[in-house]
Amino acid sequence: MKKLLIIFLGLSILACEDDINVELPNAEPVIAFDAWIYRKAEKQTIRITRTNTYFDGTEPEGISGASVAVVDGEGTIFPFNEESPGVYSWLPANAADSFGTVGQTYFLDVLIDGKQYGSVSKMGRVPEIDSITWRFEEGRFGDDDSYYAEFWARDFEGMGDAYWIKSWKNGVYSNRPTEINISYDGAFSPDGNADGLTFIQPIRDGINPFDLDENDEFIPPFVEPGEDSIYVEINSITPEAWFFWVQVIEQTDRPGGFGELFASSLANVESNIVSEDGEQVVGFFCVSAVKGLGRRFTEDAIREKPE
Amino acid sequence: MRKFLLLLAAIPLLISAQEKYTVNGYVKDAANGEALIGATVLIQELGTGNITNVYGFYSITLPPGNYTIEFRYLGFVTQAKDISLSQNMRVDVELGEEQTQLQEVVVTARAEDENVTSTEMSVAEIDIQTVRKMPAILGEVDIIKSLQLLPGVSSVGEGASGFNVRGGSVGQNLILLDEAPVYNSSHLLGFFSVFNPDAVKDMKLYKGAIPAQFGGRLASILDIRMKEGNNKELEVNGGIGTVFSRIAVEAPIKKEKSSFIIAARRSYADILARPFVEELRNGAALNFYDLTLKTNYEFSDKNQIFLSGYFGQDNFKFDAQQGFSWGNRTATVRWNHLFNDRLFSNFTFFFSDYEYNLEFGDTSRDKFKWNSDINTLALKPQFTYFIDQRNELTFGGEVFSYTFEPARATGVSDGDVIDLSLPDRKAIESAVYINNDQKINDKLSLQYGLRFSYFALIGEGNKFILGDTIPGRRRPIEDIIEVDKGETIATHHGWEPRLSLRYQINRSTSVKASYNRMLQYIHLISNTTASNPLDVWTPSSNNLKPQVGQQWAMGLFKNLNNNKYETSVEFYYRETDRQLEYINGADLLINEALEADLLAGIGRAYGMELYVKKLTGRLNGWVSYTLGRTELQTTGINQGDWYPTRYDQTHNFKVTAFYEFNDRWSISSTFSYLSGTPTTFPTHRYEVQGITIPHNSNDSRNNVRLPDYHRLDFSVTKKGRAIRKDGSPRKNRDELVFTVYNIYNRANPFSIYFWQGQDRVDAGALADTRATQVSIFASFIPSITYNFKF
Repeated sequence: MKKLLIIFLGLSILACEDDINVELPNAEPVIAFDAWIYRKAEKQTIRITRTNTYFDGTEPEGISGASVAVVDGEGTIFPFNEESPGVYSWLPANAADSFGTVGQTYFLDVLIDGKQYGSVSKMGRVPEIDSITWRFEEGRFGDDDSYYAEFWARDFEGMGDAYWIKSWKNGVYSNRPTEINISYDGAFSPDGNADGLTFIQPIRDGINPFDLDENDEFIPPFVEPGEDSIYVEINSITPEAWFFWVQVIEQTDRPGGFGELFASSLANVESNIVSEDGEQVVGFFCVSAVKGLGRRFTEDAIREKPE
Repeated sequence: MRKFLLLLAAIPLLISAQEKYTVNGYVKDAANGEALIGATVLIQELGTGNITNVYGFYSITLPPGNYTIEFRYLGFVTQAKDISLSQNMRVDVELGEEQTQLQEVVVTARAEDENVTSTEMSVAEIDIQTVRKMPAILGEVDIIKSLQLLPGVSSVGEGASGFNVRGGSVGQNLILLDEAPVYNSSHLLGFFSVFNPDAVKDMKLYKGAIPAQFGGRLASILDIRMKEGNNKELEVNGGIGTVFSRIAVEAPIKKEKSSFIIAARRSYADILARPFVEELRNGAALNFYDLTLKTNYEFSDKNQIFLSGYFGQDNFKFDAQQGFSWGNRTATVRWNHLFNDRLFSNFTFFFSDYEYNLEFGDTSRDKFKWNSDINTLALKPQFTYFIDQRNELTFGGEVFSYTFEPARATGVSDGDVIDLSLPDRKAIESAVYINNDQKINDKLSLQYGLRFSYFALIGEGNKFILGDTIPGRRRPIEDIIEVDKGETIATHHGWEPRLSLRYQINRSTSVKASYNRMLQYIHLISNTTASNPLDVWTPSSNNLKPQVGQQWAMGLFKNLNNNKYETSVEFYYRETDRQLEYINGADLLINEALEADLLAGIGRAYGMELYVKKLTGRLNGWVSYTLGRTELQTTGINQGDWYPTRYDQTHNFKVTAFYEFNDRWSISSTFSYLSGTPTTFPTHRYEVQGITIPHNSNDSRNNVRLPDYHRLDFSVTKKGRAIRKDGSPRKNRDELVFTVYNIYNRANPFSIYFWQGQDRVDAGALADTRATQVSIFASFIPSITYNFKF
């Protein structure tokens, strides 16, 4: 799809974009949860805040005094204690312990001013990353030549495995909306019933940062072997979390320019957190198992060299 | 069948006591033999008459006597013929163009007072000659963009594909090219329409009061007729524009019996760029083209056959293996047959196909390939029975066979092949109709009709049984029933009554009113601002019910100053049921259970259309104004309250003007002022794992209006000399057209979007959110086009 985007960029010679000041409709803030728990031997955090108005880039107001816990299907309670307003955390008892078990179901249980909020998530399985390689591609239509990193891993047999792939180039997390890289059974989506595949090429390629310079020209992610490195993580996510990211991509990864002709209407992303009285809240709860692998871009990591 | 028709033909003979005879025939253009559509045939002694149909045919039945028949067509010399009617007569005429300096400034090509006297209302027509003179973006004459200068017709914004009629969506328009539906009317994602103006003879947009012979879409019917081809002599038209180069060749095959036209257009920027861009020499492509072919043969006075074909394609390829392409193909065979003097028939058989291809991956180990297609085969018999001077009966039927191929897709990942294909779906749509055009008396005329349509989705295929959920969310699949080949998955049917009436207050004034009910069985699935080439058409099923539309319209029509000015005001109210909406995050491509992501809403649209047109003189043109509202109500969207559609425009004001200085220089200009369309703004933001997500706490849809849109375009035409130095007329004609689009350089907003900016957000920091306004054509665009004819 990035390539389609490039067509739109190419057509955008006549189009123009301006950042503008607009007045937003008035509305009441709602409670937002950022409750993504990873199976890692480190502190896990849940943030509960009140939404800021859209252009307000200050720290949102944290909701203090809530009782926050994650409970597994066997009744084990993982308490999350407030460390600063709205920030609740859990620390493993032993430094080597990770949160949770693959296949286990987890319930989020939050009490704010006596009102209960809850959600559920199942920790899915996650495959090992075999290797990371680089591939040379000649620049086209004026773009520079580039190397692209690819990770090699295979989806499990059996349908319904969803993954969120994160990557860091030289320690910098690729966190732009354009760089959100998710997969369903190794492919883009459940459509077509893919299963047990090596992750498809656009997802393998999705670990490369997508940087544009000040003239909106594409910056090659890797130029030549040397000191650059990449670190890749596969996080197992629930099918609901996969759908959450699909919606987030639609709302945040805006094509701009002519691409706006084919953008969909702004709409709210569904939350999987419910309140006892049906109060509208936003955010997501998910428990992910994680596998990671890092690699320095050396000559022997190149799979396809320039001709 | 034939016996039945003969029997039917005999009925009026049996019931009419007085002996009567019929005069009929064809009215054609003397210069090239093209049938004249909508020419007036007037019996002077009686002050009444008829209008030629789309094949140029007329038939009038009268008591015996001596009459003078007048044949009129605006821009042509009126011809009068004296006849002595004592038996059935055939009178074919050819009208010559008026040889005045102003012949090119004819604004309409029909009877002068047709606007007032016809029962027809809610019709938008522009003569193709007029379309050619209007300033067009990049100088490329475009019939669909031209229609948008008429009242009641709008679009979601510049560059958007398709058009909206009286608050209808793009997918609610039926575009017919020589009776075959065209599923995607755009080249280059929406910037140009797919119809070559050199091959188009006539077009008519029905916005309401849709006759019973048409159906299948709720909002409008755009009936485009191709030229038949000059049957007298060779004619070549062509031109070089900024985007396209064009050529059209027409000539007789057998003089006055048979002719053909071949018209082709192609974008040529890629050819010019080829020496400089290596990729273009290695398989990359960026081009679009279309080819139109038509031929006809007149076997006898009573039989004529037309064959027409269209082929259009857009190609965008990064290299020989990767890219994106789409195109329409249509083929039509028509047979006009006169059963007798009063029973005219036409049998149409057509094929129409729309297909797109998407291909990515430059190695055989990693690839993705997707092809989607909709094709239609259809048979349409239609009969017009000219019963008497007061009644003209049209009846017939249609049978469509659809094949939907939503996805023939394969993916290859590291050598493993997966088949992503979805099963094809087959459906039959059929209809029968009858319509009578009746003149009750000199003042009152009626057109009433009834259509019955039927639709069946046929196996083999999966029938999805969906469960209920919170409105606005994906519905769960409770069961999948496999339906065998040939068995029905779902059927739908309905009655579609149509009625219009005209009451003539005086010679130059009439009031008209109409009602129509329409059913739409196939749906364009599109949840983006503008429709795009990947949008699929999907059939009604057990879950997806047909869309239903009703429209009431009323209008006052008045011509002033001896038909020099045409004016009208129309009011309309439309109601639609089961209009499509989509859940948030709807998965519309390669999704077999697509229906689970669709919502059904109700719609209403109402408005007023004002139209003033000056038909003659050096300065002519029209002013169009529409005041309108179009809204939807869908459970699960906007908290269940009414919300405006993305293409709702309160005010839509347009002026089109032409001025001819002399026989060589002329100018034209268009101005548009359109209210901003609605869009959705967020109210809040929140962060999940470092991504800033916009949120609308009011859960409202289309809650804000974009700034207003206005634009002025201008063009100057310089014609080559018409006469040689020695005074004899030149056969070869040419012209240069200079166009400036958006002359005062306004960056009109197309949309405003909200995002966190291009900069990477540091760990722990918060994004600098912003609103960005997009303008599609943000600057003035000059262009030059050269046209020739010989």
